[in-house]
Amino acid sequence: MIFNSLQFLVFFPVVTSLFYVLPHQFRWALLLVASSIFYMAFIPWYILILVFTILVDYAAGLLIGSCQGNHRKLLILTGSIFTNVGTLFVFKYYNFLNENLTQLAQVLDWNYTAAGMQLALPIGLSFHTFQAMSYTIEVYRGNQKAERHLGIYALYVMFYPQLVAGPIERPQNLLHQLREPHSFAYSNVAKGLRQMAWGLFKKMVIADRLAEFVDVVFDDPSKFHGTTIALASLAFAIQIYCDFSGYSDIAIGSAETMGFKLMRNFKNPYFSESLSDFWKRWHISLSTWFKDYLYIPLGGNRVSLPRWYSNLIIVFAVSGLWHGANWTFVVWGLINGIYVIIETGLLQHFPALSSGSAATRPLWRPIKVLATFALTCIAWIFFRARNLQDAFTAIGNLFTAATANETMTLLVHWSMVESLFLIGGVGMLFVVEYNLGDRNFGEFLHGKPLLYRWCYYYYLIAAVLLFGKFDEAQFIYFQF
Amino acid sequence: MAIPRLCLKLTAAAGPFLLIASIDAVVLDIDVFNFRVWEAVASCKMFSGPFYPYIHIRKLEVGDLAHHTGYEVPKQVEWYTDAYGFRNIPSDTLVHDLVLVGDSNVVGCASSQQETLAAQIQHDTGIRTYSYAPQIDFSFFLRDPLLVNLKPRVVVYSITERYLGEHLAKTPPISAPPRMPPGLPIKRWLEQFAAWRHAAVFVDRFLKLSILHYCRARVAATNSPGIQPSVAPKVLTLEGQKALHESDTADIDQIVAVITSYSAYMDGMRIQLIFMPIPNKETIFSGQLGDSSPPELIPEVVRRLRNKGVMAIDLQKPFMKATASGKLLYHLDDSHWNSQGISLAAFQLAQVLPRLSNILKPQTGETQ
Repeated sequence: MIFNSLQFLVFFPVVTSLFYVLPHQFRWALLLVASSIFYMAFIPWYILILVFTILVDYAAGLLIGSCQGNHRKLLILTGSIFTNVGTLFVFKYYNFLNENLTQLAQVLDWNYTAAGMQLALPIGLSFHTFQAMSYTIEVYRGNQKAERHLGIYALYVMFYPQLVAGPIERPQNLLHQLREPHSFAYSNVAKGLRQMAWGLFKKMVIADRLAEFVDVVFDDPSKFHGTTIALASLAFAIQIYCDFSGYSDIAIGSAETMGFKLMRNFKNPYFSESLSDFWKRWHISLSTWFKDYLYIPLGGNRVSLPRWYSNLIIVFAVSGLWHGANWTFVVWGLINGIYVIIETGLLQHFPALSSGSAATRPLWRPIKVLATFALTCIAWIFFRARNLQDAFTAIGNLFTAATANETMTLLVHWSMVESLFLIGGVGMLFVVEYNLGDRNFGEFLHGKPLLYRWCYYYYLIAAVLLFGKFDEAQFIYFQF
Repeated sequence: MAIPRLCLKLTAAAGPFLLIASIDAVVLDIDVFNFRVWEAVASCKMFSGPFYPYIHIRKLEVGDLAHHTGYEVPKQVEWYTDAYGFRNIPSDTLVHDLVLVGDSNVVGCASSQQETLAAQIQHDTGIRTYSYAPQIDFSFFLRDPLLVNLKPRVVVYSITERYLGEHLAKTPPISAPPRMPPGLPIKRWLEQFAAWRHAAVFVDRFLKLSILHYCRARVAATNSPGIQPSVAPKVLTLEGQKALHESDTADIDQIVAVITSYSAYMDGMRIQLIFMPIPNKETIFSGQLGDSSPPELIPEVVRRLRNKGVMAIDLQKPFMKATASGKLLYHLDDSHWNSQGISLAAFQLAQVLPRLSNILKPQTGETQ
C-alpha cells in the first residue's frame, strides 16, 4: 500500500479513528495489525521475512540485556547484525555480487557458474533492517533497555507510517512512545494532516510530474546535450527531494495525527552552505545512523588524517550502496565523500572561504548555497543514471550544445498550464521551505491567520486533484 | 469540542469539492463533460451492465481520435439502453434468436441506435438480435444467467483484431462450466427498482468524477490520441503502423484453440457459435500507413477455424475490397466502423445465416 493511493485514503482514517476509540492497552495490537495489513498489501508472504528478523532481534535484545559478559554480548550482537545484513544481502545484493563476479570470472577466465535469484525486493527492507539493528546496538551499548513485550518490539520495527521509507527511528525515541497513552489532541491531528497534505503535494504534483521529463532524458542520455542534461539534472534534484521528503512528510504527519513524534528527516537541504552542512540536512535519519554506527566506531575524525579520509570514503561508499545495488550508487556516494574531503581541506587551508571577504560577504551566502546545490546536482547524475556508462555519457554531453528543438520536444510532455503551474509550484516550494526554518509544515501553518491557512489548504487540495499524478492507465474508453 | 471542531474543519476543507461533484451528479446533464455518449452513460461500479439502464439520449458527439482538435467530425447519435444496461431498445420479451457478443464496435460506438450491428442484422434478416456488448471476455457471457433468459439459437462473437492478440491469445480454452460473477445476481435484483437505479446513477456519477477528469484533461491538454498517417492526413488511426505486425504462430494457435473450445461449449448448449473478428482500421488502411501488405491474422484464424469445423466469417477481404472501390467503412475521426462498415458486416453475416435456417426463424416485432 502506498501513501498516494485510494487504499491508503480509506486505511488511514479508519486506523486513526480506531486508534482513538480503542482503550490504550489494545492500541499496540491495532497498530500491529494495521501495519501488517499495510505491509502485506505489497507481497503478502514477505511478512514472514519481517517476522523472522523481528523474532531474531527481539531474542537478541533480551539475551544481550540479560547477559553479563561483554564478549557474549558482542557475539549475540554480531549474530543479530549478521542476520539482518544477511537478509538484506540475499534480497538486495546477491544478484549484484553475482553479476560482478561473473564479469570478473570472464575477464580472468575463471570457471564461475552461480545462478542468480529471482526474488523481488521486500518493500522497506533497507529501512526496517537498519532500524532493527539500531535497537540491538543501543541495547548492547546500554543506552536502551531490552524490550520485553514482543508486540511492542514488533510494532517498533513495523510501525506503518515509517515502515516503507523511514525516517529510520532510534529506539530511545520511538519505543517509549509506543508504550505511552496518547489522548486525542486537536493540534496534533491538525499539524499531522497539514504535514500529510504538504507531503502529497510534493510527491504527487511536483516529484511525479518532474519524473516525466527526467525519465525521458536519463533513459537514453546519449540523445541529449548541454542545457537539456542540465535541466534534467536540476529537475531530478528537485524530484528526488520532493519524492523522498514528501514521503517522509506523509509518514511524520500520519504518525503525528496519533500523537507519535517521529524524527525530522529533511531540513531544507538545498539551502545548505556547504556539503558537510548538506549531509546534516539530507536524509538525517540515515546519515546519523551511519555516523553513530559506522563512522564513529571506525574512529570518526579522531584518527590520523589519512585514516579520517578513508573513514569518510568508507562511510559514503557504504551509504551509496545502501541506496541500491548498482555501481552508480557507490560512485555517487564516493563523489560525495570526495566533495566533503576536498571541502574540509580547503576550509582548513583557506578559512576565508567560509565567510568571504568584507566586500563579498552579502553575496557570499547565496553563492555558497548555489555552489553546493550545483555540486549535488552533478552527483545526482550518477544516482539517477541506469549505469555508469549512461552517467559518464550524461556528464560528457553536459558540456556540449543542445539544440532548442531537443529541449522543446521534451517540454511538450507538459501543456502550457502544467508547465507554468510546475514552475510556480517549485518556486512556492522553495519559498515555503526556506521560511520553515526549524519547523515542519504542520507547525509552520499553526498560528497563522485563518485566511492564510485556508488558502493553503484549498490550494494544496486543488493542486493534488488537478495536477497530481495518479495511476492513470491509458484507456481509450475513459477519455475526457 | 475538539472532535466536532475537527469534523467541521474537514468538512469545510473537502466540502466545496464534494459539492462540485454532487452538482455534477445531480444538477447537470449526464453528458455535459463528455464529447461522446459512451463515457457519459458507462457504469463505473454500481451496475451489473456496462451502461446505465433505461437510458435514452441524443447527442452531437465527435470521434475518439480527434476530439478537441480541428479534425473532429460532429455527428448526431441516439442511444438507448435496456434494463440490463446493454445498448438495446427496451423490449417486453427477452428471448432473442441471435445474440451478438463483442466489443465497442458491436456496441456501435460513434454510431446511432439504428446503425448498430444488432439493428442492421434485425433489419436485414428479421431475426430478433440482442447486443451483449461491450464484453470481450466470452467466458463472462457464458457465466451470465442472462444467457439462459435470452435463449439464443445463434451467438456471434465479434471482437476487433487488436484484441485477438491482446486478449484471446492470453486466454485459456474453456473446459469446465464457468462460475457466475459474484455480486451479479444481487445487482440485477436491485436494478429492478427505479429508486435504486436513480440512487445508483447518482452514486456512480459522483464516483466517476467527470468534472474532475474533464478539468484534468483540459489542463493537461490531452486532446486526442489519433495518429495521422503521412499519406492521408485525414484518416486518423489509433495505433498507426504499430498495429501492422504479423502475429506469432503460437498466438494464432492459442486463438484458434480458445474459439474452438467456445464453439464446442456452445454446441453442448445446442447454440451455434459464429466467430466474426473485425479488422483494425489500420489493417484496412495499411497502404496509407506506409505498409503495402496488411496483416494476415484474421484470414489465417478464420481459415484454421473453418478447417476445424467452426463457423467463422472473414471480414477483412470484403472490407479491403470495398475500401479499394472507394467506400469509407470507418469514421474519419474515430477508431470504429461507420454505418457502411456495419452494413457490410451485417450483409456478410446474413449470407451465412441461411445455412442455419433450421434453427433460426425470422420474427416480426420491434426493430432495434
